[in-house]
Amino acid sequence: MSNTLIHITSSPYSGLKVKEALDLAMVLATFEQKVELAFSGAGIALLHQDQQPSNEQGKALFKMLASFEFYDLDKLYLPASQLPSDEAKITSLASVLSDQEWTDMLTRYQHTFRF
Amino acid sequence: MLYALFVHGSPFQSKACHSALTFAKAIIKSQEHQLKGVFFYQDAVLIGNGFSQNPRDEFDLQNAWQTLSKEHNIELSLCIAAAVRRGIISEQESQRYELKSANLAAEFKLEGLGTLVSLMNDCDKVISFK
Repeated sequence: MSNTLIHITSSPYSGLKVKEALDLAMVLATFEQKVELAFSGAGIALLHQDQQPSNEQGKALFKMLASFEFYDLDKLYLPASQLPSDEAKITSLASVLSDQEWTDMLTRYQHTFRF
Repeated sequence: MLYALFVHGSPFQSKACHSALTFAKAIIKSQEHQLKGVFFYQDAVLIGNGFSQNPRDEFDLQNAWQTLSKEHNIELSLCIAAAVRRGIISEQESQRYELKSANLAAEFKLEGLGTLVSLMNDCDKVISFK
């Protein structure tokens, strides 16, 4: 069984990258591989609550996050240093890590795929 | 060491497929390493479009991958979901979607992400090219 980190750094609405990264995470979990997700940079936008994209703007990818627990995909991380302003609320599904915890987390995996 | 390559950058907007090819050749040339397979995901699946026509005075990246596959028996897998979404269609998918033609280039195969999972578990290292 592999131990994989999917690290999302791209904006969820700038293309298909994030959608296909989440697809990969779900397939790995379906095959009973251990998968965790990290978000930084523009990728943090996926964790914002109260998103309401239209069909034209892109698929509501954040809704996929709510279903992740059924795949045992319950480890989602973001660094405290990149927390957005108070106005943008972050989903409670994600854990905020200190700089040291973030650095330690990034070294824990056999495979890291960054999208 | 046994390697697999995971390529997900576009052959037109990045050098991911070029760099992966260079890396694959280095593995094959090496005495101590082996290449088990190459898995193309996201825009990298466009490498398998048999309808793309390369300008004659430019390096033919698709042909280079095909030659590598033929000469060294390296499996080139394209993620089926990513490929079909981008119009890379095998004969089988052409029939499934009732299309008039197929365009999957020779030596490439459409496979599920399970193939990538197998490569990850079978190989010592998976190198990602984005």
